[in-house]
Amino acid sequence: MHITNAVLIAAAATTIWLVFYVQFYLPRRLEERFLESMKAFSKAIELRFPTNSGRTDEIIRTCTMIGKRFGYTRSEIHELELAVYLRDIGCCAIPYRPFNEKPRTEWTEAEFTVYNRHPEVSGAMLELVPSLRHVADSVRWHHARFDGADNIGSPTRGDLPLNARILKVSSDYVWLTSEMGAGASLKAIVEGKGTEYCPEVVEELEHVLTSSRVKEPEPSIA
Amino acid sequence: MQIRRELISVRQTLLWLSLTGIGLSAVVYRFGVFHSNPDYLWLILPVLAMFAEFIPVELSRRGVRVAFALPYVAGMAFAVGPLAAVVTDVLVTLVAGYTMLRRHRSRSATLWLGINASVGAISACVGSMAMLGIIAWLGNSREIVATACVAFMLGYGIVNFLLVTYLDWRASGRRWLENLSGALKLTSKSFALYTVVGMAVSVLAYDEHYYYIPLTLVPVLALRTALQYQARMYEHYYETITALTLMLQRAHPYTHGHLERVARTAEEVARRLGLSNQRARMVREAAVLHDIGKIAVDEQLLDKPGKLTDEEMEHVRQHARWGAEILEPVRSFREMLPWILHHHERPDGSGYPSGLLDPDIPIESKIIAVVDAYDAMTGSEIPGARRTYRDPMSVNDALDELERCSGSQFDGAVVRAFRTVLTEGRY
Repeated sequence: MHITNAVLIAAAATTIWLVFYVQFYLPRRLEERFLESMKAFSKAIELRFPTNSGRTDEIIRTCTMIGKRFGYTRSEIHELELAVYLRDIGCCAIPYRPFNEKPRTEWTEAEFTVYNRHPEVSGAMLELVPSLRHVADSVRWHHARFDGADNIGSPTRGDLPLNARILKVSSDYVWLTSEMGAGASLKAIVEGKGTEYCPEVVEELEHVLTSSRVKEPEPSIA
Repeated sequence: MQIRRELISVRQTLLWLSLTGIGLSAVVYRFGVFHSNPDYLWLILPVLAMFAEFIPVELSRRGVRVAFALPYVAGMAFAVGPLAAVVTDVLVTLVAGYTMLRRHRSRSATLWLGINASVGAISACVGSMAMLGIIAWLGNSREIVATACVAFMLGYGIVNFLLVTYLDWRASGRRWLENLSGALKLTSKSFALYTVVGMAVSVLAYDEHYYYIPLTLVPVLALRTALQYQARMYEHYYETITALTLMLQRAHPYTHGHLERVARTAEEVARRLGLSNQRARMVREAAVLHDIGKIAVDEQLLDKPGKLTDEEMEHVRQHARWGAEILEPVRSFREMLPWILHHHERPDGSGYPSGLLDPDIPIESKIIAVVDAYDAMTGSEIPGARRTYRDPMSVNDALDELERCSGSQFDGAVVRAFRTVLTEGRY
């Protein structure tokens, strides 16, 4: 074969390989790097507040199922996962002692006020990190009520980011399930439909929980 | 590759670079051959070069941007002649640079435009001379086009790398060799692929198959995307460090400033001890993260004025283990985990968490231990860094304390290196 033809064939082969490399391999690798970092952030918060630990995987599973019901693409699901991992990053600003010394039921009103600032702190911290800035709003409002009755200055109803609404429903559902069991938890969420929780998201939660797929939850992309 | 960094004074650099560029261009003009081509289809090459120059990848942390015009500049050398390649490179650099200058106004931007054009001219001239050398040696035929193109790309690439990293060293004070190895590491694989594309463009240009040349934009754009991904991963690595540090600072505000000082000095001490540039850089990053486990420590204990109880001390001591636990999921940090886990070990075996003896303690942990201890002893002299449980120590007292504990609590060689760094004013 003539050397110049070999050069052209090599260039064509290189092009095909490069296209596959940038279309499939590199996006996956970047996603993996992000998730690794998220696990580190999550681990740090779990170590600071051990009572909060162990729910992240469950919340991710619920969020992913709801996100898919909304027709989320793979990258949108990935963004939702980032928001789950980063939701409590602001907890590092909460004083260690009172919140680790007594159960939530014994917290004073002042302590609740301090604790409830963590989404705002999380959002502010994420604003400082360029590659995570896009999830700052979802994280900032992940405890915001759908109807805005909590008066925390959040957007309300359709103006709340969908990821924040999904995160609110999923995290509350997982937390309530650990406190009172799955049935009562779903009932409490449904009662808050339209006031505390976004009705569309609650409907999708009901759908994923009552569908036959609930017993074999889809694994997270993590 | 081009420099986009602000300089304080660059006129002299611009003068010698432009004179060198003009001199080398005269040599290329003297020895190069001009191919007249009546149908002007070769004009596709400068058009593509211009397009490729307008889609650079910014490697912002390094202060450089990588443009993609080189394969088409190489093609010009074969389609029209080496001097045409030099002129194309200078023109596309000037036009793209001027457009960006209008977008991002700055005082020294015009001078930088001249410098970038001169660097381009010198690189293209050296590439052309390498190509002419191959042609003179092997004869001008279709068979040697690929070889001559490799010579052009290598000549261009090597000179460009050397000049750009040299200028960055002059502009920012960053070490030349470190910069060179960093830039090579980041772009060498891409450059190899880039050379294959350049060879294809040159062969097509030599054969006057100009209609096919736009197809080479596919690998160029794919390469650009690959570099963008690489740059994002690189940025994300540093942003992860930043975010973790922010978390620690939120939990323990006194760490603000302390971590940066310890990191900077630890890197200097690592260099002084003969660690490679890359290793020293990693020591810096590990030093920023060495106390990350304190996120999980009760801040009231760290600021407690009196003596800690055994239970409290055990809680505080867990931070070394927790630090490693937090960083463990991140693959890029795995090499640093033992350094962070063992930064409170002592050569006499009385440290924690594992009670390792001198030979088993990583040198990186020993460096962090010394610099951290010094900063903790003297840091309270710095506004905002004062700790409530201890009065500040003077520099001399702190150094004496390090000397006194040298061999038992701290490594003697590290303490000596630290003292040298300190006396050289690098702290």
